[in-house]
Amino acid sequence: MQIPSRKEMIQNIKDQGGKVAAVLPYHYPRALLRAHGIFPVEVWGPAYVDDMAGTQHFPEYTCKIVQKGTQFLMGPLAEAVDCIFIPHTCDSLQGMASVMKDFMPESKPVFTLYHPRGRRQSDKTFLTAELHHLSAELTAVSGVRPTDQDLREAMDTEEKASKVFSQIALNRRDYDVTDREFYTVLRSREYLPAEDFTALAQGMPRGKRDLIGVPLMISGIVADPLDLFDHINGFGAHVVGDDMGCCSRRIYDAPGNGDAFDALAVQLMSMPPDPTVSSPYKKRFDHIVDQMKENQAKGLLVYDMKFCEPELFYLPMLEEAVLAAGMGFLYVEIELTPIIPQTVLNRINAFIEVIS
Amino acid sequence: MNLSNAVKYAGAATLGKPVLYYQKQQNLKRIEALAQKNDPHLSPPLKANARMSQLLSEQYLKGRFTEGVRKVAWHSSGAPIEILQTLDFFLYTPDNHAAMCGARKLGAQYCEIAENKGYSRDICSYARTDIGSFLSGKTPVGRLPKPDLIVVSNNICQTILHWYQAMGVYYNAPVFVIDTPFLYGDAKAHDVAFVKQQMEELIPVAEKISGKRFSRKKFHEICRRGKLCSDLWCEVLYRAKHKPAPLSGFDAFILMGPVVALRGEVSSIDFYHEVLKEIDERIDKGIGVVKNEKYRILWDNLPIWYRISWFSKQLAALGISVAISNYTYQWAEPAQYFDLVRPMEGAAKTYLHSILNRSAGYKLHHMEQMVEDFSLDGVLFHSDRSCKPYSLGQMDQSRAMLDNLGLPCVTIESDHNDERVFSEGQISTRLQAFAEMLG
Repeated sequence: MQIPSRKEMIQNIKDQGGKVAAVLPYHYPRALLRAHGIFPVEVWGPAYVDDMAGTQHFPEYTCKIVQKGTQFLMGPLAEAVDCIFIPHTCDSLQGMASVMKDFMPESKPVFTLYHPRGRRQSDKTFLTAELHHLSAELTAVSGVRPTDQDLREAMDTEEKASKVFSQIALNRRDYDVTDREFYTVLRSREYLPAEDFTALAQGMPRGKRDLIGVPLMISGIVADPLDLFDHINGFGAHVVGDDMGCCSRRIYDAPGNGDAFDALAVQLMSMPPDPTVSSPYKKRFDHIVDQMKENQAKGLLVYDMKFCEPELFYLPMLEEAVLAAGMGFLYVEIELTPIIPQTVLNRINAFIEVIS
Repeated sequence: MNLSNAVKYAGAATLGKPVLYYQKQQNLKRIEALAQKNDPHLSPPLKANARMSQLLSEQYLKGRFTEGVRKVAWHSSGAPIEILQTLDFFLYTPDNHAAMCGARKLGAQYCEIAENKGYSRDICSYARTDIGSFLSGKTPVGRLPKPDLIVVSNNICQTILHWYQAMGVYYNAPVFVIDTPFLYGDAKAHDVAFVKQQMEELIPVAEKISGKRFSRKKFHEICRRGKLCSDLWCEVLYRAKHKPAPLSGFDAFILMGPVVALRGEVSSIDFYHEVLKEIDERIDKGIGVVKNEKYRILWDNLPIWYRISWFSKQLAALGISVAISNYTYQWAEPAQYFDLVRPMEGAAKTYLHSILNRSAGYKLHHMEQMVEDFSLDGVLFHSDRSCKPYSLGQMDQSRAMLDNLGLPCVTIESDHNDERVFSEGQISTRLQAFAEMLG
């Protein structure tokens, strides 16, 4: 599979007169950006950059997405993007947005969006107003004032890609590719325009793959580096589904009819239970256990970022719920290093042996 | 109503008074004994500390017997308690309980209990303290009242939502969230409308649980008292503008209990009147909390509860007085938004504008204003592993303080409740170096 890199994609977009937003994790209104002619390129660290710029602004107990993301934004991406978009995902990304806005004048314009934590009518009303406000702010960068019709058209295009994304993410068993290939395609949604992602994903070979060892489900914020999947296969397991922030937590309902901003707000609030929006504990545990049963997973590997409080709070009760359902559970923490530490790999290896 | 508990509750409220009065007298004796010792650097503690202890002890004592007598609402320190007080809920603040455990050096012990259950050391130590307390049944106050309703607002952090939701699961109690969008700049109209709408939505939920009708008239009166209490608290803090400062930031950490947990109660208002009277007597007599006050500084972030006395002594010995902390000011500053004509909208603005819900740049501006108002010579930044909303931004704020005002700053790394993180030697060295910079 030939997939362009982020760098190539940014250049393509620029060549076609488009604008690029660097987007931090992880729920955001793609269609609204598109209606402004802005294409998102997501920033999840990455693992291979250092964290020098980040450590000059944030204490060592801040997660590496923030530390390395700051380095990435101030270094390789500094000139390449037109703006930065930081959704309000957690206290750390809140702090990052605040520091970049107030203390880093050299950065590109920073936009934010507050994602309400509830699912009430008042939350929807607020998010609709928040999207209108964001749209007005984005005009400063895009020079565009999208109409309701413009937004609706952008939503239609994004929806085609979203449908393909969820179809793939929920049906791992139907694709004859390795886990690494599967997640490489799925995660290309992080930076490919909707049309390119749709074409790429629809071309992924279908069929039954050769299953390696025990079925495993993974959870966490981001599965980086992708070597993780090679290691999992090497230890005698295959991935049957995920509850990752970068992947299946971003399966949304199709947008409804009526006012486009209203519909976008409702859609943005329709993700599966998610710790970053403080979903009720039991609802989230039931969702994960159901997913595991449906995919016949024998265990849950929580592969998580150190210092990620939203994730950490759920862990003890999540472990109880998974064990009570008769499946295995392992939590490992990572710091987005380019090579996964051997101690982490040893624990994953031992876990797979135990559940095999 | 549970008759047996009703009798005990009434007993705690009446018969407990002599016991608490005795406790207060004992505390006053201790303060007097400290005065006799005549510490070379520090004046004796304010007598108001004894009264404060009595006030909170009374609340905890009643809390033991509320079951079946009054409905209990647990609330975060930034939640709109005026709505709950209007419906006569018995109020309990887990944040305060965690802080009290920290001050009694029980933080690490309770944290370890939570950690043994699987809670990471990387989550907030307040949360671990309270969860550990629940899991073990241990608490220095004897017994905690079980919640009928939990009301939490994320105007101090997102962490608190997870912490309170966990408590909701453990106690099988409904959790109502007052979601306060973070303010990167000024509050937008839809931010205020959102918070106000949620407060309105809380009313029928709380009415159903309390079995009482919400009275707007009573609510207005409680808001009036809440504003008065916050204004008095502001006056208390402002007295530290006087040189030498008659009270310290460490005193304020202790004395803020009522404005956090019992705002709007007549007893809290009376208490702060008493505090002001005692402080004014000190000012009249020229008594400063640090006897040889050479430098005046700001404390940024939460206190290190288990080391308040240690810091107080260390800094006093260096001639440093912590005149003000922006943490304690949190319950004073937003009082300006209380609107007695439109109390619900005023309350929405008040809770939205908590300093912890505001940008790093705003916090810097706020600190710079304090430097001027309180004639400060430096800033001590507590980089608190357990509080990201406060701590992220400090590195830039510290640089800006030096660049904009030429003000010496020091950063100490620690944790507000988990004493295992505290490094005495390292911090002591930094404080001494800081004193040299101030000189």
